[in-house]
Amino acid sequence: MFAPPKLPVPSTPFPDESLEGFIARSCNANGWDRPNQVLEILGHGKSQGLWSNRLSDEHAPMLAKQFGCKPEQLVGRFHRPVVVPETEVVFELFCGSPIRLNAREKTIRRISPAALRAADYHRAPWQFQPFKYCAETGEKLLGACPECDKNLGWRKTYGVGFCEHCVEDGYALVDLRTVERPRLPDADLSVYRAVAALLSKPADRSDIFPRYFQSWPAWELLDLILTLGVMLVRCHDPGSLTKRSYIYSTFAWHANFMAAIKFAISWPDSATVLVDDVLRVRASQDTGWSYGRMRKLGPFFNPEYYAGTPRIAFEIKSAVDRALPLTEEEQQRRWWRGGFRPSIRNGI
Amino acid sequence: MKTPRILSPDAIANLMREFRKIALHTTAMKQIHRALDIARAEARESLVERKQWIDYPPALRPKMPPLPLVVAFGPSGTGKDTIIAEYLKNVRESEQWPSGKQLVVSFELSVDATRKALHGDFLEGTEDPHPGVGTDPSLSRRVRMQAANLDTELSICNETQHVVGSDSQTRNKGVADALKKFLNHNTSALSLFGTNNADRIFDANNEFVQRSFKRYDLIGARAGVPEERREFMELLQLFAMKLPEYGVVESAKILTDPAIIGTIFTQCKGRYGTVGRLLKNAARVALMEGSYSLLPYHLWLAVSGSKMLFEDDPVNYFSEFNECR
Repeated sequence: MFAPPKLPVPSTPFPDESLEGFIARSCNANGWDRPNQVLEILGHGKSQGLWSNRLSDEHAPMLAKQFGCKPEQLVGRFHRPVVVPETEVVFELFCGSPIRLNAREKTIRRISPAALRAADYHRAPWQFQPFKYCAETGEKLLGACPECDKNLGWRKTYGVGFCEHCVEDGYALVDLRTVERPRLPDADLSVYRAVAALLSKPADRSDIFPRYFQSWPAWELLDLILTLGVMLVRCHDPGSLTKRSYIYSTFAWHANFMAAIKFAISWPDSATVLVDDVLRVRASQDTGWSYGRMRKLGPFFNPEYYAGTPRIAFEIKSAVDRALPLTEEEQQRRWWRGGFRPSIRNGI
Repeated sequence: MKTPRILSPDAIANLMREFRKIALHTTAMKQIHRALDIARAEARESLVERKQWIDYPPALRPKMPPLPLVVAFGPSGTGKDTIIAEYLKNVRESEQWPSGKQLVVSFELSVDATRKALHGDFLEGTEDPHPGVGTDPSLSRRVRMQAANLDTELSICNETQHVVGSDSQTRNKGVADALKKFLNHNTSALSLFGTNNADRIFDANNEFVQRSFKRYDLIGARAGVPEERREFMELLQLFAMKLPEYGVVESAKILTDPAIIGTIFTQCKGRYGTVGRLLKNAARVALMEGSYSLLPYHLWLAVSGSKMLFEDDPVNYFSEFNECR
């Protein structure tokens, strides 16, 4: 009987480990530095792009045999598209929760040195682009080598905690685990952890979120926070691109994300403060061609353009309308426009 | 008179497999096994430290004392393979390794081995999916990583003489250097087995010879040493007892006959491995002939039919038994 080739040193994934991190760690334990090459040798074909893209749930039994773990330990780690009803926005499964398709960092390996010092494996939430800090340690995630300044990736790895560019004679010279990174203040860390738990432990939702959202699934609440954050970034910088992956990488993202978390914690009462802030910011801006309510609210005028589900769009719109009631003229105009502006760009 | 027994080739092959179970634990074998155990114990001590620093380049690791080297060289037929096989058998029977660990790795060096081939051979021992893929540094790293993560304490390298098969001194130096680094970088303790030619590997690197913790020159039993003579007789008695027990033949009494013992000693130069091979050939001849007993005539036929075993002295000392059917 044909026995598929397998790696001599077996590895078992940690509960919150990413698939890429697990395969890279397992390959490194066996002395292989290119996961792509290993997957090809193990009979999973080869691809020009990201090696993790060719793996799906159906590969779990074979991969489990080859890497020395159980198939059920791998199944939840594959990123497959998921259909969310009543929306055209594309979602994929990540840690068992739906997230926007472009919210996962696919190419850059981001790590928290302090977390790696505690346990040397790549945590899945580090791949979630909106998270710039590690929820475990509060440390800012590191995506580039401090010595050579090159991005850390997945094509070649010498273990998750080493720079693959600073190499001599087959050994990595820069141990990233020794790097000290800036940390979140303690006050921010507790709320940050609560939001991160919406992704990694959706069943254990923190008490800091209002009972108002009790009927909402954790992923939708997270998407509401992200939507508010994106809208705040766009509100402060109307000239910025609307692509989410771009917005997540902007310098202003984290501050606006933290502001969005604080608004969500005291939602819907916080909508008044939010609208006041928006009006103040918009008053000092060159708002271009827009006029009327759109001129006043900017991105908050049409939340359906940013929201992942109709419920989120409705929630933001109704909260804004309560905080800033429509004038008679605006009511007429909304009636004329049907009160709805369809999204023309999915995933944005 | 009994009817000759007729056995199929498969049945004969199955009976021949029983020979693997027969091995005399000679003094030399016990000494080598003990030396291997000591080497393993020493490697085990450094394992924790080894794993802690495995990701770092050698220059950045703390200097650890080199692991021991056990060497057993001797001409063909002196029982090197049996020593290795018995050691692995003992280890398998007496130890329970944690899942996914390989505490002893045994491999055979390829003919005309280079540094890269040495690493590839080790990786074959660990059942790496593709032992040949990679450059020299990457293979060397893979060997080190796998040895550390499999908790390998001892690597047994057989057929070490293959390294000196080529004319190139540079190649010998390369392999000797790789073996030295194997010990210096604490990959695992090492044991080299090979014919006397393998000794030349030490000429290539003087420092490597200093790593040798125990060296054994296997020569088999010597006629002038009573203990070794007695051990040789014990081996033949063991065969005389075990062959009927395992059902290979019904009787092998001839192996206790002083005249036959003396002739086997002369024919095999006192080498235990050669004795095993000779008796195996003789038993095969006996089974093919349908005989129930091992006869001197079968020994004569076995020597005639396997001259390669005795190429340094091709005389058939059983000639006088060629008519004793």
